[in-house]
Amino acid sequence: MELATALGIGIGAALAGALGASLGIGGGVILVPYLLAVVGLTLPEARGVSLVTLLATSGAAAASRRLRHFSNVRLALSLQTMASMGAVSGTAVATLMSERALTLVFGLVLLGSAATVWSRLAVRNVLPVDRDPLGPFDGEFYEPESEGRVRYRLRRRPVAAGLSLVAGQVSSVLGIGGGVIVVPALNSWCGIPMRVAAATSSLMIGLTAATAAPIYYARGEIDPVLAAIAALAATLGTVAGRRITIGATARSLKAVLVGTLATVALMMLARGMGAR
Amino acid sequence: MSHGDERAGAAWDPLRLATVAALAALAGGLAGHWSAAWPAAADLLLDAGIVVLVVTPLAGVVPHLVRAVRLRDPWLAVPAALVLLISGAVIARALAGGR
Repeated sequence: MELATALGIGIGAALAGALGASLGIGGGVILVPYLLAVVGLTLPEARGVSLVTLLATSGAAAASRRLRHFSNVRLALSLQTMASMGAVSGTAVATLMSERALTLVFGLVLLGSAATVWSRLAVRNVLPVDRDPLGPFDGEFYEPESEGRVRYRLRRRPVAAGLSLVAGQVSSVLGIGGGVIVVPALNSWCGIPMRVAAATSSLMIGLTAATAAPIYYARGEIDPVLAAIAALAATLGTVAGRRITIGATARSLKAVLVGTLATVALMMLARGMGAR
Repeated sequence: MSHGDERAGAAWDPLRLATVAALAALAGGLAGHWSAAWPAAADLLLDAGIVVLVVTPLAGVVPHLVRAVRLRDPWLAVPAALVLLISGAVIARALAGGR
């Protein structure tokens, strides 16, 4: 393998790792087109690298005590159940709507999500610690930005569940991660702080990738050398993303999320309209 | 529930050990592959690293399920069991040639 190819994969995977750890959106939606267009991999190779990147990012985030501090396991597993059902029912959605129509709708939804997150840049979802008991999906954690322990409460649970189902369907039909739907939804509509939404989504992305990876690996569609480069680079990216998550303000994290959502939305709209 | 309740107390819990072991195997395999010094061992290390990386997220759900059953916490036990069940069924079906 050429050094330029290895370097190209490493840079893309590190960026996806940083995005995954700081924003919880995985990064496959940007990584796959990058690997195809810039590095020159084939689609199966790029898909394999992307899956392993997601696994490494999620694994490194889950293994990090500082990032794990933000994740809500109950919420992640509960929403993952819906996302898995969405992925299984995704094939039915594909028969109702063409991939082109779905891509355009998805692009428009993402633009709407970006606008919603932008309109709530200054809104914080953290509450002071009080004596009221926490619900099953609520949480309390130490937030560096507030310099103390804070609480949050899950609101509009059906919205979170419904959008996780949609995220699973979109993942299955369009082959992209559901984090771009789950993170804005949890943060903008369901009362979940940005860092918690990102860490929780990261956990979900790992579970989704762990379900898909054995299938591609058994088919021989994951190149072990490419996968190793991607995994190691993504882990380095996750370390950088971890520093960003802990050091940055929630407002700046949301601003980066808006930029990323808008970029992905424009890519989807261009794809839906037939641009290459 | 505080997030602190969900954290494993030990600095080197099994999840962390598995992730580090997978990355070490991948790094060793990559070094062996590029140096061509030990090709057979390099392939073995690369395969082992990927398998551990793939298995770890789902295996990481098991301790949560066990703890939830022990504490009789249906909000955690039911989704944990469902995630393992659905993922296991999807993988088994695909590997059996159902997809």
